[in-house]
Amino acid sequence: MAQFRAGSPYRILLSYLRASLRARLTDRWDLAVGTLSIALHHALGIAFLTLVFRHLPHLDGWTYPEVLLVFGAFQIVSSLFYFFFSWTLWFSSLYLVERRLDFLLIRPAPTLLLVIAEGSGQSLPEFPGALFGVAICSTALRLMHYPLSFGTVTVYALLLLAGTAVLGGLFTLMALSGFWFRARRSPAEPLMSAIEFAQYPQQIYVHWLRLVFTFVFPLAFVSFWPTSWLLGRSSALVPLGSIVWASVLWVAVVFVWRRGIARYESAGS
Amino acid sequence: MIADGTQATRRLVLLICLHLRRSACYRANVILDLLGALLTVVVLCLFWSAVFRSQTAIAGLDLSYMLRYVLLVRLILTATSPSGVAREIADRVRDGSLLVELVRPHGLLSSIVAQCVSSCLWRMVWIAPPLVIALAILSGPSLALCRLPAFLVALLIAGTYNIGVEVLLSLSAFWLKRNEGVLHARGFLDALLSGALVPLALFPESFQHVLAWMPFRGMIDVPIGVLLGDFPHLALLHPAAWGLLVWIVCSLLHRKALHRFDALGG
Repeated sequence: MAQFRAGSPYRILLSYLRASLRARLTDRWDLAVGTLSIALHHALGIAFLTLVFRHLPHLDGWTYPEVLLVFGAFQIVSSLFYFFFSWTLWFSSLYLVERRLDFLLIRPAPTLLLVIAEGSGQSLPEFPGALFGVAICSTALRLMHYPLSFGTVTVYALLLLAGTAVLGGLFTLMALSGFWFRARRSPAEPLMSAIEFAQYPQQIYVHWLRLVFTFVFPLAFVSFWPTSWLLGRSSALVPLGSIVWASVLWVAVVFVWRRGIARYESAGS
Repeated sequence: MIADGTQATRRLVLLICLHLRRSACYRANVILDLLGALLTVVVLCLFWSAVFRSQTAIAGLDLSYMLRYVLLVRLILTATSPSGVAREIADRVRDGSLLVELVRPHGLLSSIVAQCVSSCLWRMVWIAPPLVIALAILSGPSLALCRLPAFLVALLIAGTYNIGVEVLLSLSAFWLKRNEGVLHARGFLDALLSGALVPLALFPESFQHVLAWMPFRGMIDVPIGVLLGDFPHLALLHPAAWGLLVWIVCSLLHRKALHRFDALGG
């Protein structure tokens, strides 16, 4: 009889992610169509901005390449968000109501990370959206003749990853409310439309809304503040704001997750 | 023949009521769909307000026109665009469960049309009122109520065309099996070329001449133009002709589609 060798929890997690991705890749047609739909979605956004800026020199002081850069950064962050965190939409119905969480709780790896790994596999078609976003950002920077350095690009990439963590933390917290308020549809669903506020420069919104998106519901840290920092339009403290928000949200996620798991009960499966 | 027609109409109405009752079971969906629709409208209104801070007019359009345009686009899409029917039919063709629908006395075409109509009616009940109120506040006395009947006719024509295309895409599943790519392409073309994204007046002039012949403008651009007085009532003939053509193709393909269908038992 072959002897079972237990690996570290994170090796198990990696294997889980690989298996989930492989399962998704079995249907290549579906993956291709998913990628096509994301490409068309991006193309619509670009067409919208291009058609508007044919008649406009700037939008509240933001030129077309600058607005395109904000849009491209938003596409990178939102694609990564949907890749890693679209499970927040079906967490309540699949994991709590249908008890899929039972299978994951008995596995020797952190359960929340297993949920993220499983969800990532399902959302594989979202990942190419991040590459389209990179292409949009590159085009925008070329149009601006912006002088890039390795350090600037690295910090910008980290800020966008922090933006993904901010968005992921927000929606994970909302999904975890399912431990207390069980329902088929996630309370995060209508707020998925609210993410659209992040794809344009925040200057276009009224003052109180800008404060809300910076200090209450930090959508401004998704793409606007990182891009403002890159273009030298904001304070050098912006990276600190992204890191603070991401840290606060994920500490809250760990706290709420532990409380939620402690009260989770199942009739077995 | 008249009795057959009356019976078919009665069955269709019963099917629509059945689908409406099914939609009413999912009350949370109402709030979620309403919030989603309103948030999109708010974002666009704020965007256009910022655009017109930089410039008082664009291609002859001002802020007041654009805000009404955004509200009308959402209203028209709610009233005339069924959601998800073609995808559902494709799934049922693939797994063979469409067989259950085919043995029923009302026929496949009636079933698809009933689903489409009920989808539009259900969303109209919840999403239309706040949009209409906002529109009334924005327009005030400048909205000529005498153009309302023509607008309603334009909506009917747009709805007929959209439902015809949805039926056509549903029937395409009998040949393509997987029609998601076609559905996504259709969504992209509809959004870009109908005026749902931006008014067609913002497109390059040469492109506008091409768009004038295509069926897409009948979905958004013509109904809004009729209501706001940009187009005469005769402009409705063009989308009506396209709608008729789509339904002729649907009726021709319908029988061929049923001959192609196969399923393993029920």
